Amino acid sequence: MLGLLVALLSLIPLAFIALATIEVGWTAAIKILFRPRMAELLLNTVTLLGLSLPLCALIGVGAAWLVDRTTLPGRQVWHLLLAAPLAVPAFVNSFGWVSWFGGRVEGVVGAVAITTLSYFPLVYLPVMAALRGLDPALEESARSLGYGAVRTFWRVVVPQLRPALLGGLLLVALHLLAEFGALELLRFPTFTVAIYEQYQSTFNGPGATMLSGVLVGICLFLLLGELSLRGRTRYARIGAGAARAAMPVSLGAATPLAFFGLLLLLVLALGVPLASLGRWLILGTSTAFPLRELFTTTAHSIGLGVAGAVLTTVFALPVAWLSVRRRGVLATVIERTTYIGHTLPGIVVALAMVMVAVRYLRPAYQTTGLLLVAYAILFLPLATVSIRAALLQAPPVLDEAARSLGANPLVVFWRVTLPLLTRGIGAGAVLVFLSIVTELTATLLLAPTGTETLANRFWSYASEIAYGAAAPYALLMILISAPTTYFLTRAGRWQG
Amino acid sequence: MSEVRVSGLTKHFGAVSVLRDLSLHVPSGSLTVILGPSGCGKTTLLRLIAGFMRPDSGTITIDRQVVCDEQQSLPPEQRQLGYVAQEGALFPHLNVFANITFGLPRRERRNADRVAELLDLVGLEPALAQRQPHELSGGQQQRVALARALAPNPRVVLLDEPFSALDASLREGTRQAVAAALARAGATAILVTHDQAEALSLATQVAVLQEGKLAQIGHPADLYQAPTSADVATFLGDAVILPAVVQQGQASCELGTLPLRTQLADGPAEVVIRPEQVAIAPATAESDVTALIIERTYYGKDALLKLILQPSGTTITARVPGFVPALSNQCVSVTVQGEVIAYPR
Repeated sequence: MLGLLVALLSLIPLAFIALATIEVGWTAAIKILFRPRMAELLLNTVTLLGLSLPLCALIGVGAAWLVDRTTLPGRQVWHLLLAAPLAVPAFVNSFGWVSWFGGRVEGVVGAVAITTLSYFPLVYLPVMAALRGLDPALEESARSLGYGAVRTFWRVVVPQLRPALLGGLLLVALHLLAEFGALELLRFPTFTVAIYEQYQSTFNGPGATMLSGVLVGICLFLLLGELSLRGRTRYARIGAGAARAAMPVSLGAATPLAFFGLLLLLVLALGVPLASLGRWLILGTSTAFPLRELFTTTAHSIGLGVAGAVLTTVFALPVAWLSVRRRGVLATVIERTTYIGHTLPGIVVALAMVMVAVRYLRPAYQTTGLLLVAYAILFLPLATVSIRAALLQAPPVLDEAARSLGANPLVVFWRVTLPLLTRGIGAGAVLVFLSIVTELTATLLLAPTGTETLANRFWSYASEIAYGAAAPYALLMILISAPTTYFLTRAGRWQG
Repeated sequence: MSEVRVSGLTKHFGAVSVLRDLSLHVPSGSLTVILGPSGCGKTTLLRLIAGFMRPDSGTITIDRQVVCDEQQSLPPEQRQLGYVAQEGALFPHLNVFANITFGLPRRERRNADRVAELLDLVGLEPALAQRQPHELSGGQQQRVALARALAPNPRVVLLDEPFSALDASLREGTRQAVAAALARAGATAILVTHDQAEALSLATQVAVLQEGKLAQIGHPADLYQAPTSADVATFLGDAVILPAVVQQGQASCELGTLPLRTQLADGPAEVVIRPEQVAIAPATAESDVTALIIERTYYGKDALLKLILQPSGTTITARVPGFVPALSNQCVSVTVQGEVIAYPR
């Protein structure tokens, strides 16, 4: 019952976009859809996807292979550093580049390069987890059947990495579609950027709704594409026992090449934005440290993050419970439905919440509650996935053992289930918290007037080209999100 | 000391009938082993007694207290039963001490003497009390699970295939320790297994379950030596089954005229002979029955021979001590030792 309510809540944005699109009417819709501006947006969006996705795949898989399967020294350090770009929000990364190199990084090249540098860890992490989970006996069997190291990798390892790779690429694609801040700074308009501009200029215009409809269409298309590509094949280790570590491939003379290649990648992805921030903090003429303001915005960000994490966790508990303990068609539908919100770009969810509030629930407009609900819709799966994984570690047989020892169902929940879930609940809540702190678009649209967050304030300074003034806010966001990076490198299965 | 009575128990899962009108008496202080092939309903029976499921019909009585019938069912926490699951199901967030004291009232949960006593009962060192479950071997986990089940002094202990997840090397030792602990605690216990050797070696009473029905119940030796049907006989161990004719308390078959363990009316029958009853010796001119050895599988302490009876060509098996030299492709004389059982044909 609770699960059903949560699923319905997740459907609000999608339902709203569908409804609003119908309201616009055919003639108006066609007029909007076939403007030259539309062609430009579509071309930009497709170009971005077409170039960034292969690059992310190449860098993600290549880096994972180098770190996990070769004799490259310092694998622990590399692993941490390669996940680290996730701690720098893409809009901060592009801020670093644009504020330093100006117009030279604007346009398609800059957009592709910077989004790739920001999002390749989304491929690297799941591929790495999959590599580590592979049974080396498969590779050893291939080797004994006469395959060389390289052929074994292509014919045996890569096919098994497919689910992880596709899952990672889907995440990158959804992030690319939802990206607003980075692309706006790079002057590379995609649908999301255009929706924001439309919203700013006309507020409740049919233009923004229609663009949202197209964007949602692309998202759903990608989702289905990933599902069909993934196919029905199951890739699981058969048999029990812990996997041994695979025998590493010797890099030999190529070691320095691999070493400096990864180093260059990290310099571009982490070094440049961090150095740029440092540069502004030290040299910027507009740099100021208004301590009081920094403190209140940080407090707002953290407060919203904590409240949002709590609300999301409360929503996620029944969904995770249903999907593990009450398996069935309805439970699966409910669980899958909650992923829709995560698939939709923040701007679409925010837009839908604004419109729904303005039309049907006026008092909710401009309230923190509405913003928190939007966060919950956006980040619900992050919490569900962690709680689900923890629930799987608490099989029903433990409940039965406790029951037979004289504990009634409430006591069982309190003494057995809850203690086993705390880690999962905590992990999910931390992920949601950090996603909220670095969230830009929904916060920009929905934060009540007067609630200034780090992302909000950073954005208003950055778009006024007050780079020095923006830098301290960016630094605070990175400092708050840095711990997640470490957390993500520890957790193998962090994304569905 | 408590007894369990099950009567007329029936359970369906959808269209599949798992238990059919099953009745069973578990005497006080006994270790009753429910033995059956997988899918015979033995685990379902245990879960019904534990209260994790409700039967379609039938009653379960523990010490004259009806714990479930058509109208009502006592929840598992009020049945005062101990339950040991297949892989122990120790609570992973609690150490051994906290696992064992889980079922005790709050004020007794700090009682280190009781924990030490229980660990000793299941044959474990008191020092293990501070370990986490994942730091124990499979056999140790099962023993802790038993100590946890015994801690609140349950009326009956239920064990669901408690040794099946263990390595062969750990299984025997753990079995002995568990049986000894149950005997010392004087507990009534019901253990479910599909392993014949386990059932015969541990039980004071074995109940053979086949297709949701009780096929036979009794002392292990009675069951093995006098199974009431050929099905039970072959399920409990290797058997040679030959057509025979019963006349005046003796069965005549290809292996000669053999004395019967249980009386049977005259007429056509089939006899069941255990391979270890078949003895071989070098063939002589006086030999009544001769056979050719065509295969020998050597196990160390004994060996299983495949024989072709001459001249009929019927194949039988014989179990002989391991020291008997291999006589492959040789003709031997065959005799049957001890009494056999027969069923009307």
